[in-house]
Amino acid sequence: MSPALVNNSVISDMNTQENSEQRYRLLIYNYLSHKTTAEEKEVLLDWLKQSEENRKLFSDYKKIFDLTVSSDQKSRFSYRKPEALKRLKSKIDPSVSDARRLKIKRLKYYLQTAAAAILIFLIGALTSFWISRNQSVQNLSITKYEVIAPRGGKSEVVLPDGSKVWLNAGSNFRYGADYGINNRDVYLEGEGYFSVMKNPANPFVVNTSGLEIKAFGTSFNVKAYPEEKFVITTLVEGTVKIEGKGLNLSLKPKEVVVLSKESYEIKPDVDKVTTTSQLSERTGRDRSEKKEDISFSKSVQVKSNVNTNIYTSWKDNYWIIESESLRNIASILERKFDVTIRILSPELNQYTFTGTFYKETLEQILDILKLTAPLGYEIKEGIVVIKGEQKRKSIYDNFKTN
Amino acid sequence: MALSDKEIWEKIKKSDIKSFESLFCRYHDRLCLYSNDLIRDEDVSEEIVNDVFLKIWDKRDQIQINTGIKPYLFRCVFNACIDYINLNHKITQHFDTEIDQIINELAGSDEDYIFSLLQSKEVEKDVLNAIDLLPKQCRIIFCLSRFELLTYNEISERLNISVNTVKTQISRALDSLRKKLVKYL
Repeated sequence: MSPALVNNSVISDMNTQENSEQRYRLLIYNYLSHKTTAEEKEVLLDWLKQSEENRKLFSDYKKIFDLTVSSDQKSRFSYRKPEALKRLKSKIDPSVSDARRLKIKRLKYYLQTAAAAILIFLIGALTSFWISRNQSVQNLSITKYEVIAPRGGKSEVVLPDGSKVWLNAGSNFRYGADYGINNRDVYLEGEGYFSVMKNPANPFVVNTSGLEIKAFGTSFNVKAYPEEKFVITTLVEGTVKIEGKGLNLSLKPKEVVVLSKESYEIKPDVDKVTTTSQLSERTGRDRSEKKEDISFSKSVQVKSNVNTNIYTSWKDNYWIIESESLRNIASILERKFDVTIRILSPELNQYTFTGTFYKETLEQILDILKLTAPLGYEIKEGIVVIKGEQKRKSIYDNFKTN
Repeated sequence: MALSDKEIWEKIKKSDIKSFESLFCRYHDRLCLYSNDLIRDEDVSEEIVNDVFLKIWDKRDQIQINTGIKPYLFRCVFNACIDYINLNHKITQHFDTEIDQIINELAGSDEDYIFSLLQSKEVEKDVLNAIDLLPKQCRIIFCLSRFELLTYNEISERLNISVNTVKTQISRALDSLRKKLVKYL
């Protein structure tokens, strides 16, 4: 917002007592949200010096401001605490950081249907590494490390520079032995959450579905399963650039970019993405340029100010769904629990659900879906069959029309 | 039984790394929130807090703490943030050292209090309730500003209302929240 605007209306026109209080309230709020001009700060400072009463008022509004901090931000630092502690310890005692190198932690995942052991390829002792013969130009043969999070599992990788990667079920992740020396290139098929160490000289590049997603020191999520139509990039903080295939997009924190893979071939896609009216309203000069880009290639969708938790909470074992269709939910369930899902009644695909799951089993999730929509299910030998229940459907429809 | 700050500090002075870790865990989150309040950059905030702890560990046998470890930590983070801001002129305009000094003095003990409130589910419920009870337009505007961090202009464009209305509604929301949450003030 233009500072002059705040200035005019906040400082001037303080005729009545009530008016004045309202102005200062706003001035305090602006100060706390870093929106004040130098002039306003002087006014605020004078006012604060005037009386104890004023300072109490300020402290009251600061508490209100602090209490309404989004739970999002509140929890972010505590999520990152273990990581921060590790970093601190590695600075105190260098041997700790050596031990950490190339270490991969296996995450247990919750499977009730199959108590089968989760297969995770461990780097170092257990990784099956292979030699890339394609790059024979170089004398040094390039070793690549590969990490797989199988369907029904998840895994976590700490890269040599301390950057961290969480892999969602059914994902494949590779990087070269020279990672961190000349480059920080990694390759992803599937979904990963990246927490990248700052290094302006050496960008971290995720190669996926023909795109290069570049980051310098940041946290972001990339969802690019080969079997899915879209590449979805979510930026939690920092900056990220998406390049390749004629694209050059910069993301701002809390933005989500949905790219239709078919758009690479300039084939207009009349699916969810292009018809969506959710295209975020963007303001400001630099943003209007991007808007043109979007209308030019119709299959890039940018959403601003999203709750990024929806896209990233999987790594903390939460699963947040927001107006997600049963069809999409089913394909996530298939990977999460390594099952095959068949939806017998096509109209069910259109049902949308919203909610949060935490460590629920497949059956528990299906039971919850069943409670909220007229459907039933059956599980047999790793195959889940979902079908509509006509009787309940008519009750629901009745309910809707009334 | 958790050790008091004072006992922890005694152990840290004797180079007990475990006590140092528990001090870190005890204060990390709120110091980060505090630092982030001042400089608005989560990564840097975290780094600053980390550095403060590192320095404290390195100088543990020289540091004399008279006021208590907690005010000392907040003081260190505050100073480190100011240093950072002075070094990176770009955000000085958002910030006034003198005002923050006043805030710091009056809120010195309050950081702890606010943090304990933030940990409580019940308080969270009360806060959300108080927000829910705002008139619809007022609530939407406040949420867009406070949670989605939109500017007044952006809100005015999005909702197709004047910037002045946005300001009036935010002011109204603050007043109402202060009245409803008075027991926590």
